[in-house]
Amino acid sequence: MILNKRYTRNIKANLPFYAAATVLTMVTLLMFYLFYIAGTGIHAFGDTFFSRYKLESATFSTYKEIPDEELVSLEKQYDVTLEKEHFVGVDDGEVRVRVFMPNRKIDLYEIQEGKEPGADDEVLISAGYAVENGVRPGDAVSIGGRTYTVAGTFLRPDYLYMVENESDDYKNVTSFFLAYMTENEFTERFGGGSIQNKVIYGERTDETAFRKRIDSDYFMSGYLGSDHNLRVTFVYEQADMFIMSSWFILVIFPLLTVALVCILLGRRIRSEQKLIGTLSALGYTKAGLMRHYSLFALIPGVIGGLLTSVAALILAKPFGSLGLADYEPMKPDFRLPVWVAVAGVVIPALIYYIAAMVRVHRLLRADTVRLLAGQVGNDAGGRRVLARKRVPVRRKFALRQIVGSPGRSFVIFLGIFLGAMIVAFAFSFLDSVRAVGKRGPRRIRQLQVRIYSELSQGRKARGWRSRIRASVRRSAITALYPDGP
Amino acid sequence: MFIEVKDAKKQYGSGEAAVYALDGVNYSLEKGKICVILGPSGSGKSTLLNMIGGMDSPDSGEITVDGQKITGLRGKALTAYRKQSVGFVFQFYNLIPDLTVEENVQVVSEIAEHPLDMDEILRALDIEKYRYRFPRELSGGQQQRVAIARAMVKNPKLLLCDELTGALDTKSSRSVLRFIETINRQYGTTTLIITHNESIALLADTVVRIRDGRIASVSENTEKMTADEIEL
Ligand SMILES: Nc1ncnc2c1ncn2[C@@H]1O[C@H](COP(=O)(O)OP(=O)(O)OP(=O)(O)O)[C@@H](O)[C@H]1O
Ligand SMILES: [Mg+2]
Repeated sequence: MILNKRYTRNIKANLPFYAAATVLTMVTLLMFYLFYIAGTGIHAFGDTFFSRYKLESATFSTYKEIPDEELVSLEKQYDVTLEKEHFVGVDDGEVRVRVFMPNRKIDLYEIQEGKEPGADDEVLISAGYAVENGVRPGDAVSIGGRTYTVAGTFLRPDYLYMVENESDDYKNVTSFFLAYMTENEFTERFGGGSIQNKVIYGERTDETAFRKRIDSDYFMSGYLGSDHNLRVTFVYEQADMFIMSSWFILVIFPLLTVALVCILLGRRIRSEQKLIGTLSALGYTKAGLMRHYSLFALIPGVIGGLLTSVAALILAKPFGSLGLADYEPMKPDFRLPVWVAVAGVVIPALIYYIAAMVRVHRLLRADTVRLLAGQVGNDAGGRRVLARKRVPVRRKFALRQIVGSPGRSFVIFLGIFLGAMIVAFAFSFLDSVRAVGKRGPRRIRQLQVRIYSELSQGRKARGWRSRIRASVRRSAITALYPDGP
Repeated sequence: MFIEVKDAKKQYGSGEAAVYALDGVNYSLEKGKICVILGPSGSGKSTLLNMIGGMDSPDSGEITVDGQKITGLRGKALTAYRKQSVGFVFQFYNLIPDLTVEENVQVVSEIAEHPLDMDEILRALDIEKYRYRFPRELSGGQQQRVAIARAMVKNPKLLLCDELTGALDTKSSRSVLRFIETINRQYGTTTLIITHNESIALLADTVVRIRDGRIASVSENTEKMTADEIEL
C-alpha cells in the first residue's frame, strides 16, 4: 500500500504529538509498573524466605517449662511443630544485644555475609545493624564485656523488621542487634539462658484447643502470633501498600493518560477529515481507512509500552530498593512478570487502536462533501462568538481561542491536571516512604488491633501464610478507612 | 442516457437562512460526450457535480449513471461506484500532502481494476519532472494537473472536473485540454467540466448554464473545436 508511506512521514512531521503521547503513556505506565514490581518483589521475597527459614506461627512463654518428651506428644496431638528457643538479653549500656542459641526447626537464620562462627570467640550478628554501623566480618564487637570477632551477618524470618521490644514503634538498628555464638560459648556464659517456645501450626491444628491446653498444663505467660508481630507483618504490610498503590495509580494515571491520548488522537484524525473524505471519494473503503488510521494510533501505545517495559527492567531494582529502606537488608528479586509487560504494551495500544477506528468510523458517517469541506465536528457555536459585534479583532480572537473550541480547552486542562497530579504524587510518595518508616506501621497496627481484634479472635488458624495475609488485608482496609469501616 | 438527473433539490440551512444549492435540476448526458457547465459562483455547479460523483446526495430527486441508481447508494456499493466509475478532480485538488506526485497517482492506480499507464499520463500532462516532489512544492496549476492524472489513471467511465484550468496558464491549459480530448476519444470517457472560462465551452458537445440552483440553458455545440483550435 502506497498509503503506508505516510506512516514514517506523518510521524516525522508530527513528532511532538507522537513523542508526547508515547512519553505520557510511558511515564504513567512506569509508575504503575514500579509500584507493582516493588510490591510483588517484597511479597515474593517474604513468601520464600518465610517458608525456607521456617517462620513461626507464634512465640509463647509459660510459667512452667514444657518437658522435652512432652513436646513430641504435643506435636503429634495438635499437628504442630514445637521448639524451645534459648536466648538472653545483654545490656551493654549503649548497645543492647539479644543472643540466641541457634534453632533447628523454627525461625532459622540465613547468612548474608561471612560464615558460621568457627570458634568460641566468633559471633554472627544481625545484618541490619552491621550495615548501619559499618561492621564487617573480621571486625570486633563487644557483648557483655567480652570481645568477639564477627564471623558473619544474618537475617531471620521473625526479625525482618528490627523492632527491639514488642511495644516499640520503630525499628532500632543503631543500638540493638541480634547475635549467635557457638553453643559451647552460649552455655558457658549464660547456661540455658531464658526460654521461649516457638510453634508452627499445621493444616489440622486447632489453635484454640492448643492454646487452652498449654495454658491449663503450663500456664501461658505470654503469646504473640506472627500475624500480630510487627517484625513479621510489616513485610507484607509494606508490600501490600505498594501493590495497592500500584492499582490506585493504574486507575488514576494510565487510564487518564489513555483517555487524554485518545482525545488527542481523535482530534488529529478529525483534522485530517479532508484527506479522509478525499480517499473515500477516490474509492477507499471504510474498513481500509479505519485500518490505516488505527495503525497510526498503535504507535504511541506499542512504543510507549515497549519503552516502559525496558525502563521497568532497568529501574525495578533501584526503585524497589527504595521501598526496602526499613527492612533488614533483604534482597528481593524485583521482576516484571511477562504478562504484566505484555499487558502494558497490548492494552494501551489496543485502546488507541480502537479509539482511532471508532473516530474514523464516525467521521465516515458524515456526508463526503462535508468531510471534503472540513466541516465535520467543527461547527462549535463558540467560534462565531462576537461575529457581529464591533469589538477589536484581537479581543474576538482571544475569546474564541478559549470558547471556540471547548474540546481543546478541556484537553489542555486535562493535560495540566495530569501533569500536576504526577508531580504531586511523586512528592507525596517520597514523603510517605519516609513517614511510613517513622510512624506508619505501628499506627496502622494499633488501628488494626483496635477495630479488628474482635474479628481476628476466635478465628480458626490455617498456617502462618493465610493468617498473615488475613491480617494484612485487615490492616490494609484500616489504612484506607482509619475511622473504621 | 448515460447520466440522468431528475428534479434534484438540495437545501443548505433552514428557515430564513435557507439556501437552495439545487432547486429542481433536470439534466441528462449521453455516453462519451463532453459537457461543460458554466455559471456564476455559488450557483450550484459543484453541488451538482458532487451528486453525480456519489459524494453528496440530493434532498429529493433521483440520479442515475449508466443505468445504476446513484441516489441511495451506501457502504460497499457506493465505494465500488466511486472506485470503478468516477474520476474526480476536486476544485481544491485535495492531493495527499505527505505523498509525492507519483505516489498520489499510485494511491488510486493501485486500487483500480484496469489502471492506465501512469508514466504516459504524467508525460501527457507534462508533470513527469515533478514526480518526486510533494504537493506543497508545486504551483496551483501543477497541482491541478496531478489531480487530473490521479482522476484519470483508473480509466473511469466518468470524468468529473470541478473548476478546470482555473489556475492554469495558457500553455498548461492547452495541454490539459488536449489530454482530456485524447482520453475522451480513446476511451469514450464521459466528461463533465465545470469552468468559468467561456472559451473552454467551445470544446464541449453540450454546454449547460446554471443559475441560482436551476438549469438556465442547455445548448448543443454544433461547431465543436479541438484543444489546439480554441483561443484561451
Ligand atoms: N456545506 C455547505 N453549507 C452551507 N451552504 C453551502 C454548502 N455548500 C454549498 N453551499 C451553498 O450552496 C450554494 C451552491 O454552492 P456550490 O459550491 O455548488 O457553488 P458553485 O457553483 O460550485 O460555486 P463556485 O463557482 O464558487 O465554486 C452556495 O450558495 C453555497 O453557499
Ligand atoms: Mg464550485
